[in-house]
Amino acid sequence: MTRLTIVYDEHCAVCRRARDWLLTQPTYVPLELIAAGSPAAMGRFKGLPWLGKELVAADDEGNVWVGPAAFLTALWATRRYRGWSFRMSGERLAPLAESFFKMVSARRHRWARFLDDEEDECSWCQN
Amino acid sequence: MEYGIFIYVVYAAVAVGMTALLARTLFRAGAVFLDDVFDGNHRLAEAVNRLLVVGFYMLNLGYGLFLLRAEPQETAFDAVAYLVNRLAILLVTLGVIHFVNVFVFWRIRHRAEMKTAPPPVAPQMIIKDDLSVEGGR
Repeated sequence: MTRLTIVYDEHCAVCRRARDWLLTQPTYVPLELIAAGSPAAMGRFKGLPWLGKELVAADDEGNVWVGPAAFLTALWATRRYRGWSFRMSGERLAPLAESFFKMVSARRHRWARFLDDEEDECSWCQN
Repeated sequence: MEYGIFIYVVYAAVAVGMTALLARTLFRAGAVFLDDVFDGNHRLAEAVNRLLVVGFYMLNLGYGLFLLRAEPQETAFDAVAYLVNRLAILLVTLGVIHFVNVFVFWRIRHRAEMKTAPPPVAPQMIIKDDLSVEGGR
């Protein structure tokens, strides 16, 4: 793998915050973060039924991770938290991590009020 | 009779002997670790190993010799008691340093393993070049 592409939901404040955080992290694999509604994402991943609904991670070899797996794969790409990605995919923590991610992800549009992000609608979004 | 010289001689012999023994153990076992970490780059592994062992020698011998400031003891019993006390302190310190060393080896190896580890979970789907989709949940 020489590049990992993460497709996030640009309409959710938590996701944009997570993207900003991920961009500051040193990584083992070059990361590319693209918005689910962008033409780039539409063009490259139109075959994926989850586009815009779930977090998607794709590498340059065609492997695609979705939802909690995409979350772990993004974590795996970072230098600091690769160890955690293995710990959280282990037998004991995996169910917990998965339900946590699903919980956050399913309610992701509601968390905006807890962040200092006043921008309800993303001004640069395509639709 | 005074036992100052006796303490110094026995202590120096044991300190040097212990350090040499531990350093050899560290050198032999460390070589296996480092060879694995440096992925067949045998010369680099040996160089790093040698540097670590030299540091180990300097630290241990220096500390060991620094530790001993014997007063001449009156009786043989006092002399032996003092000697045993000093050797105990030396051994505990050597043990701690040795474990730190092993931890450093483990850490180097762990880092190298992390770097090349594949993603923790298998992909849900594989996209072929022609955009046909394979697999699924």
